[in-house]
Amino acid sequence: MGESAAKFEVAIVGSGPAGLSAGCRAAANGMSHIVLEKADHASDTIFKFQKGKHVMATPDVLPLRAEVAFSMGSREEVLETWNAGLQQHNVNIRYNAEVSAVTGERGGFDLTLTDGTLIQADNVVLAIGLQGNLNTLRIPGSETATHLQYQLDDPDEYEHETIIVIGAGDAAIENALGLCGHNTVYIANRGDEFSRAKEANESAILAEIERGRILPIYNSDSVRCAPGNLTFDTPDGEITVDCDRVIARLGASPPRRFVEACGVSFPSEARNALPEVSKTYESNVPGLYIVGALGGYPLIKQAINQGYEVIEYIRGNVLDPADEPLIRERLKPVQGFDTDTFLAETRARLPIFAELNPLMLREMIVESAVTAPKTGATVFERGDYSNSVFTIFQGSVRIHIDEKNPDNYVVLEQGAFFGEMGLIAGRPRSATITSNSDDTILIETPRRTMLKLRASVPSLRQTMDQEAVVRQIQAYIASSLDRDSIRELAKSATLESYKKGQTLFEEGDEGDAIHLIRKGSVLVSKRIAGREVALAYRAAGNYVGEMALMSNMPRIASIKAAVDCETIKIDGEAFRKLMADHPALKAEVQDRYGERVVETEKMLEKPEAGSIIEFLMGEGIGEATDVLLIDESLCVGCDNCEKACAETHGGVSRLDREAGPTFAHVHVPTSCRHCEHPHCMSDCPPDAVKRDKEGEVYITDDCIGCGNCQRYCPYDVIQMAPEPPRKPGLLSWLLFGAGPGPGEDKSYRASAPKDARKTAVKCDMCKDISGGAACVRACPTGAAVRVKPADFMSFVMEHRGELDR
Amino acid sequence: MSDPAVHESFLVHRGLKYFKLALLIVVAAVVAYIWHRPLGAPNGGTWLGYTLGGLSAAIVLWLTWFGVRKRQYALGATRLKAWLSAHVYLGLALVVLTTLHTGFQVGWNIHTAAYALVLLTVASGIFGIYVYARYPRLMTANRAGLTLNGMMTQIAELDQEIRESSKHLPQEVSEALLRAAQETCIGGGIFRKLSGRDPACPTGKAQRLMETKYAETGIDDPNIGKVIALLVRKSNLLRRARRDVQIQAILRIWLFFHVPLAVGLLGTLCAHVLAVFFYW
Repeated sequence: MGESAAKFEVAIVGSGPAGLSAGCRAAANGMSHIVLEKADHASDTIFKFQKGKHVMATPDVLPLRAEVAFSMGSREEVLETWNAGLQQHNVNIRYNAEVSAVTGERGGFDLTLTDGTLIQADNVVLAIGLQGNLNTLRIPGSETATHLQYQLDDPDEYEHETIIVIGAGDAAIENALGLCGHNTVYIANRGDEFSRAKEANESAILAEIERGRILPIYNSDSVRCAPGNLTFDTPDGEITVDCDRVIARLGASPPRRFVEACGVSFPSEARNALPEVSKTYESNVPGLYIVGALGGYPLIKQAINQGYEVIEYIRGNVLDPADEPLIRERLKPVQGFDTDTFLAETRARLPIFAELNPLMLREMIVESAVTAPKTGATVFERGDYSNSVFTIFQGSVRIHIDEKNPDNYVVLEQGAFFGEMGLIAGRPRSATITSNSDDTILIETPRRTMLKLRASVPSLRQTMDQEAVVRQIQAYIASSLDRDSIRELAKSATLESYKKGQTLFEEGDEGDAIHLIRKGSVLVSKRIAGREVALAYRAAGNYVGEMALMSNMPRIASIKAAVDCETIKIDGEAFRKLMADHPALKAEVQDRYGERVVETEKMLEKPEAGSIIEFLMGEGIGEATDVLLIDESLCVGCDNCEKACAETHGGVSRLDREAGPTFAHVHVPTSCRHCEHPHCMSDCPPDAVKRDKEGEVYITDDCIGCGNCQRYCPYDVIQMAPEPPRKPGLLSWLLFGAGPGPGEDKSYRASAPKDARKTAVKCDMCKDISGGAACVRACPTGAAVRVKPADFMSFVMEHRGELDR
Repeated sequence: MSDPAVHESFLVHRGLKYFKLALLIVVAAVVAYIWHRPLGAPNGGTWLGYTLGGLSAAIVLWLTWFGVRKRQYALGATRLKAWLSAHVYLGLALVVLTTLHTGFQVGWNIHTAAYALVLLTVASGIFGIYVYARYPRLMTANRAGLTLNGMMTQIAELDQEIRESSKHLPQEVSEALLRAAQETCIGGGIFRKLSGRDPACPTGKAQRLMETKYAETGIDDPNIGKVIALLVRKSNLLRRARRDVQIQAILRIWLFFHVPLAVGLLGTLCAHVLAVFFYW
């Protein structure tokens, strides 16, 4: 057809977040432009999200720089905002316009559409993302199959069908979850777990599988497809599953052939390799820019910002990155560094950050705090539950190893990091840290950022773990030893992890390795008269296995993980050799050994106490930092604890006294345990679940009511509650009977409007109330107690008498 | 535990601190009473009488304030347990203090009425202490890890099972079983609650009916044996549920005497004090 139109200053291919943002910016600048969209609507990827899907606006700290608005919300809200933006700016967008070829370079690009239309432009912005190029099943029969699809728009469209969902990622899981209400749903997974998915999705799908609402086909590879069925290869041989529909969610990869045909080169042959672009997003073809997921920035907010920026670059403007003001803000406390030097120096001086890419580094600094404490200023105190990690950018700090004598300290120099133990073990700070020089500069990185970096930068994790192992051995086993000997010992050490209930070693086993528990806790037990009797509970920061080491005998007790655990396993031979060379270490271990032998004997006299420990561990107390227990021999059921909780927390009680299990008069009510590694913190979109200095896990006003924390909590202690109405004062109730009286008025929940905003509420250990936990203070009989891990054993031993009565 | 007050009953709070305080007051009062030689017989009108009366009145006011203090949840670091401990022992001390205040003179008047109310209120309180000391253990033992709601759920499940197994039984039996499912209730009026029993329980009736009926004829249908077994299980659960309701009722019922008596005492006390000063 060869229809020729006017030449545009810029042609933007794709109208996703990046493309539409570029279009709006170009329109706002009055540039002649055209946006070419393959589908008949804008932003096809988001459009094809499952109905009602919650769209996130991460990274939170990154400011949005765009003509279009964008904030976290449902798929529908987001699309509506964007469509309004396109209209408002009068963006020249052409739908149903699929580009088949791009040729030329700056000043003379020719874009050919599939219908033959030719479009000319000076510059081209490729903002086509990856989702346009979904990975497909390549098996016999898949080309012609009519019951096979690669996307799912609205799960409610299907009812009473048998549907196989293939994949183990978030998309597959979300589809399966959406469908399983009205259909028979299989999920076919190449492996046997869903660990690649977001934790919330993983636990949700495992729960549905457990309930039998979704049928898993593990370790399966699809091999053949015929009308009405799909055949898998599994370890048990081939199986054929009859079905009405197959939804394969296999991810997406760059549309390489098309991009290469435009003249763009790729750095490697890998299927998911992305084209390389310059700082201004320009590819190796002059005038051809690549933004968004195809350029390596998969997040919506990043893509939107790039759409804006690329137009500015095309217009010849120089821009600071969007987060520049934030970084400058962070760097205020230190003098003499501009952003670029500081970032470069961070990488050069701090080995753990050496392999962060520039984007990660910027994000890390934005989310961190940079401080310059003067000599003697306290960074944190021993016993604090704060869990950020510090790195020494400049100067040095003192680690005070002796609580009583502040002059007894060791110095940590520039380049080192500290505070990682809180991150790894979830335990309070083990030492007080103060600044050692006036020019000290520290970077304090919050827990969430650090966990993210640990997950995505293997070298950071490795460096950190190596050093942490040395420090933990020194702190918890061999405080008298010098660093070099410990480093030598650490070489023989390995990191082991155990799932809840898994055995570290069994009574009677050969072996003499010592396990230092660095995360979680374990249960020590012994067979007595054919019955397994629990002897003790050991929290993170303790070691087990020294008995066999000292006595040269087989294991005399079994060790089981009470919760998910990580241990540092130290070779017995190496340890024994070290003890032979260092009498002080030998004495240390022997002392501990002696204490334990006595403790074991005491417990053997009272096997009932062991049953209580076992019961408490079964209830997850092994990961608690502070738990409410009720002595039922004293509890009169007045519910004053619940009433006190409700009255001091906006009318909603965060504990349910009656619910929860009881054993030997010890009752574990449904109430927060303030876990060492709080499950509720795993995936909070606004990062509203926080941990206070004393260890209290609480939820800030930032809560958006998504319910993730509630789903994550294995102990059911978080509820989603609407705001209760105000109640009259105590005396008007007492004297005149006004209002429902003290405590939670449960009727308001039923009468609250359906669309009332619900937020997550949980125990905050009354951190904002003077005098301590209201539940315990309000107990008239002394039945309610709060117990910390260090006190469990004494609580149990003291309580043991109850069993004899 | 580091803090010795953390886990102990209100009765032994902090090494019986308030028991000792109360004992001290009582001993001092008795000694003063023996030592004191008033003109005429000892009575409320002597200086010691006024002192004892004033002290007793102050204690009564403080004790009744407990009803308010117990609900001031955000107030102060003192635990309610400490207040209750003091409440108990100072309340007991009142018996001696007010008796000495009367000088053992009683009559049919407002003054003796106030004294009698003190004794009655304290007596109901003593019953409360007994209840609080005894019943929590019994409740735990009876529950054996279940809650009342849990028992109700299990009972409902048993009903469902009974219904499914009793489809082809004679009309007389199935009617009794239907009644057992629909009309069995737990609790009811206060006396029913306190008794912990229901002699007319339809489930019990159905169980007895089936047992006698099939004792005569023998069991030829395996379902009958199953239904009887289910009924026995249901009866056991019912017994435990009623026992739970009974214990909960006992744990509360004494307050229905203690509190009104205390309010009555407060009124009578005012009248007593007014009368004394009016006729001074």
